[in-house]
Amino acid sequence: MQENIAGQIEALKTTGTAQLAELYRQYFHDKAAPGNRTFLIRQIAYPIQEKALGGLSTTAKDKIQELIRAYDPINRTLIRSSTGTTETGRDIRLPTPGSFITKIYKGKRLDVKVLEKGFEYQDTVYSNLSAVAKAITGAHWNGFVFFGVKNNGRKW
Amino acid sequence: MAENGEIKTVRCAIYTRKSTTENMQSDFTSLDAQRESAESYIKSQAHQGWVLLKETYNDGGFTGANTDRPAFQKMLQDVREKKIDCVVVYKVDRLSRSLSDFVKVLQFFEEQQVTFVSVTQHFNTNTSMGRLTLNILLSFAQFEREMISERTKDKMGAARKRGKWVGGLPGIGYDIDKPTKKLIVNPEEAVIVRRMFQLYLEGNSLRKIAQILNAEGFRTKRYPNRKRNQGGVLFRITNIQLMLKNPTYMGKIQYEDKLYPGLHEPIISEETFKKVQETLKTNCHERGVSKNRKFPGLLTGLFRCACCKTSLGHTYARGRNKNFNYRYYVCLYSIKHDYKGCPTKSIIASVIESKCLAFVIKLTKDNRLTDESWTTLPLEKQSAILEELVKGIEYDGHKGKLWIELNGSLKKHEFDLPLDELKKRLPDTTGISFANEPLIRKQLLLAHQIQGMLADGRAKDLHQIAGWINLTKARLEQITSLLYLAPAIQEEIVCGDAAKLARLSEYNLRPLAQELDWTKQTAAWQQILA
Repeated sequence: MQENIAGQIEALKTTGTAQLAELYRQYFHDKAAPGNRTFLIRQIAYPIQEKALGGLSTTAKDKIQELIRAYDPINRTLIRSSTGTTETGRDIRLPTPGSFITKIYKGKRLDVKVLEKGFEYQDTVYSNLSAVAKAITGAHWNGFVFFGVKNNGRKW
Repeated sequence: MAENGEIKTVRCAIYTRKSTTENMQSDFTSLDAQRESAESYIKSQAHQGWVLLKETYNDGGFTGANTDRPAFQKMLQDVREKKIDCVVVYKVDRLSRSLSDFVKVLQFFEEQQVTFVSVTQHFNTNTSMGRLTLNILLSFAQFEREMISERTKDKMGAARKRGKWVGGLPGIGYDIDKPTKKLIVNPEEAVIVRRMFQLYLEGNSLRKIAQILNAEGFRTKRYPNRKRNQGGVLFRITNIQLMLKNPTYMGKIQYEDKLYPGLHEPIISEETFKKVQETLKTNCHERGVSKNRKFPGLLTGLFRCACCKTSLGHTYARGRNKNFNYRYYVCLYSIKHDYKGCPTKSIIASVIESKCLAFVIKLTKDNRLTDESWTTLPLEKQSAILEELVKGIEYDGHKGKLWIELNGSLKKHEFDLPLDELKKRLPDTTGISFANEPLIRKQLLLAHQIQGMLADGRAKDLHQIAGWINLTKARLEQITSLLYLAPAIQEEIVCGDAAKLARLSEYNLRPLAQELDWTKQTAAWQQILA
């Protein structure tokens, strides 16, 4: 069995690209991305072995999900400099789209949803955080200051 | 009253009251006079079956403004227990000088079927005329009391405005001259006052002043004539603060926010006093009573310092990042009086809380504490459970011992807990400490998060995510390639010992991720770990 799997994986290296793409479609129900044969082999090798030897245990999966929920790694640490924009023109202090910025204001909890472009607060879309802050307070606020959105400069 | 020709006995109680304690020692007081007239009245009604009870209800030196009088309450209790059929007083105002109280008492008597008789003021509460008379009498009784109090207040106010001392305990530095009732300087105590003001101007804190004065052998003023023999104890911060703010020392008398020149000799010059007030104002924290209920700790109310016999209070400091509170339990004696006087001083809250919990679990085996849901409970519920189990916790930093007393048993369980263990900050396991996680774990978690985002459609592709978080797509590909590690390796990265993983990063594992065969991966992984 073990040798069989090793053999299968070894065989992948000599399989034709078209055949690999077919295998990928079987395992992922999707069209393989063109161009990177090495990557394609690596992608297929995982489910082959997973099927034979078993994948991540449920406890490990749960633990991973729990930690992701607790830490939200993508929004916590990846940003390198404190201000600026990404290549796509997005302010790097902002969390990823779909995240919520929360603040307790006058005893009430404000939840502002971050969109790809703009922010959603109480079913209204605003173009920037300052506009949300103005709608809430009635006075002009720097949105990043008001919501305490900042990059705390941690690195990996 | 008469039934079948038989006369029913009416048990009568006499209530007497007098609001001053003057002449109470003499043989025949006003109370006796009131009692005598009531007794003779009862005698005159003997043909109706009236008999005097042996029990006497006398209130000497109590005001009629309220019902907080011992004998009065005793009488009400006896009425409730049906020991009394009739209450006799000398005058209506003896019972109460408050209209509302009186009405309540009369109602109560009616409910209990007790008659109320006033010897010198006859009225019949069965007729409307009688009730009106009663109400008028009572209104006057109340009016009289209020007049007296107003008159006294005005008189005292006027006296103060003219700078007179109108009674009360004199502060340290002054005595009262008995015949003239004026304040006179006590030269010995005045030294303390001058020293205190001088120390404050030299820039000492209130706590420091208290310590210096105590060390120099000074004590608070003695009041030997008081019942409890007050004073003559160590100076505390509050003493010093009250004294520094007392305008009497610069020869003034205060009446309703305003200062009036007093008739007594000042101890401190007005200039010095004002200077001190200015400094006090700039130094004070304007805050209310610091009962820190907004931010209570788990052990608040249970935890005591065995060395100082005070409680250990919960407090916190803001960290540099301002996003984390460093919590402590601080000995209140060390805050208030002498920081160096207590061996415990302050200890880290998370450490002592986890230690105490472990000890309590050992003692009680209560499954609510060991249950996994414990950490998710809100603080109020946690402390409620703990208060149910534990009566008190004491800690002695000198000996390094902790005592836990459980509810329902008198035994104090002793544990060894050296002080330096409580001063060391443990890695925080309860809060989010992402920064403390090993790098490789963070990276793997990120890889899984990205995978999840791609799977549920929150992100289109790696390129988009790279745009959001200012990393290159190539770097994200490197990180996500961790997902091709064998499940066993991934599990070890997520759940394994953090110390082992400390020096690993994505870079170290890159050759592993490129290896296709899991058995070979695991072999290489073992090599890396070793």
